[in-house]
Amino acid sequence: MMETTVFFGEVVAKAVDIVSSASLPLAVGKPLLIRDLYGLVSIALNIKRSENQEIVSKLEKEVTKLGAYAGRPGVICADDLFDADQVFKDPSIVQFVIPGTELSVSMLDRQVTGQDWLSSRGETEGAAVLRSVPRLVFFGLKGGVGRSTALAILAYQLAKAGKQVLLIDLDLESPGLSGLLLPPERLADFGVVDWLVEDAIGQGSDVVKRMISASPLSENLRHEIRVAAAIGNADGYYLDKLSRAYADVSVADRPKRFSERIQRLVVTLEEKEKPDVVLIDSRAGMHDLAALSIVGLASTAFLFATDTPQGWQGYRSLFTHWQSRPEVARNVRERLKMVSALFPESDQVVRAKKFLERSYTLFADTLYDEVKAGGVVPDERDLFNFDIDDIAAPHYPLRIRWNSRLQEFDPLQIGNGLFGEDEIRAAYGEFLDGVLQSLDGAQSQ
Amino acid sequence: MWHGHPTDAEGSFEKSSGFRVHVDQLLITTTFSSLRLIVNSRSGAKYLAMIPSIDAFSDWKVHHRYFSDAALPASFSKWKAAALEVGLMLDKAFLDGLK
Repeated sequence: MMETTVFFGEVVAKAVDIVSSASLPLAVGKPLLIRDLYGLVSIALNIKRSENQEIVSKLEKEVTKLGAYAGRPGVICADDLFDADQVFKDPSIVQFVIPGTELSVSMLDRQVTGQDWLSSRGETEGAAVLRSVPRLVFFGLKGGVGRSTALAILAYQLAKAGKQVLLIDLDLESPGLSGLLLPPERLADFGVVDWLVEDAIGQGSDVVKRMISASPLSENLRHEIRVAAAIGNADGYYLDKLSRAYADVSVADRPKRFSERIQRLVVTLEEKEKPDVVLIDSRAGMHDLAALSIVGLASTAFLFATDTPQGWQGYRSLFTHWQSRPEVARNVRERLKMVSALFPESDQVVRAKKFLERSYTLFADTLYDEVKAGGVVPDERDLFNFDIDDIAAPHYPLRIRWNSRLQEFDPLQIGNGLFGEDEIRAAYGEFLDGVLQSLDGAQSQ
Repeated sequence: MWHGHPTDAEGSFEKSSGFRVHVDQLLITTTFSSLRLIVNSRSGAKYLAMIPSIDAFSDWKVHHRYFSDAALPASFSKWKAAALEVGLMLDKAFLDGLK
């Protein structure tokens, strides 16, 4: 009989089937799936191989059904490991729900990148600070949707409204925020990338002292806009530094992942600057920096989108990723807010309706709890679900209207009369009001 | 010379003899921290970060394996802690599929 090729997307469901059909004795405990860097899946059992040969051999034979994706070894036992407790109690283990079913399994997913899309905010160093300082993250699946400009204008409005603003550029591969808010001569000596390199050898605190600039945009306002740029002005070598920036390093004799290091930097900057609000420009696309920014840092993540099939498809891929790990989805979904960017000047009623419907469908299919007709609902207030027209819902977009004059807008010119307040409000008013209201709401809670 | 193979002043095989040497003589400097000169790439940095105490082996020699408990030097506890880190790092590499 010809063997059928097994592909990546089928493996976990097949592995769950193997585990369910194996009728493992209760004493064996709950099996854990371990998916390695190549996607190969092993079944891990917290028992000794030497004392359970028959069970292990039978299961190993079954695992071969995963074809090229069968783990090597197919079954991992406690005595195959140096410290089994650390593996079976790894905080990265999540319940993985097979899409379209109610089948789930505990899974330890070893990944080359992207672990932060699945991390729990509760584990992070920044968790305590999150409660006191709002961190607004700006994210877009694609560049060129006006994310950085919106961020600069929001920073101006917040400073004008009497808030001390700290702005952090985490778009390390495409740093641009500092260019919008700082003339070259105002750029600080060091940026985020410098901190990452210097911190790896214990010199991070020397960099922090020299990595903040005040934007001239806030010169005549009640409060300042302080900027931590990605790039510094002191000694160049940006790509040499960037090529080392993502390293995990040992800090105080403990391994620290890149994401933990950035969280520590953000907390350090917050402690030093004492801002009322932190604005973070995230890298575009499904990159580790975006994952960290949205999942690990944001109190609210603004998801910029234009009404294009590829944009919705991208967000669906991301949301589905969370949907298959329900505890991660629960952690993230209440902190999301869609932004309808570059909202066209024509057919606005029809276009607004279409955007809203697509956004609602996306959230309802993936991140909102399902309300089952006639089913038993423990308490509807516990369900995370919204009406399509609920303006407070994550799917309900804040709109930024397209304006040709503002496409080449230099925020530093706000104060010189080239751009009137009315013109800015016409394009950004709905967005700015929405953000300010959410900040006021968060502070009154 | 020992059975036709060149030896050094202490009677050990010279490096040119073709015999394999133990890990304490493998690294290009006298300390294990020189691993940093070898490791490359993001994955390399990840595993290196898991063994921050690796330099504790700088005064470990292969013959320490044969010491009795009573004769073990003061460095023993540092070696033990560093070995624990290496063991945990090897678990991670094993789960990652680097077998």
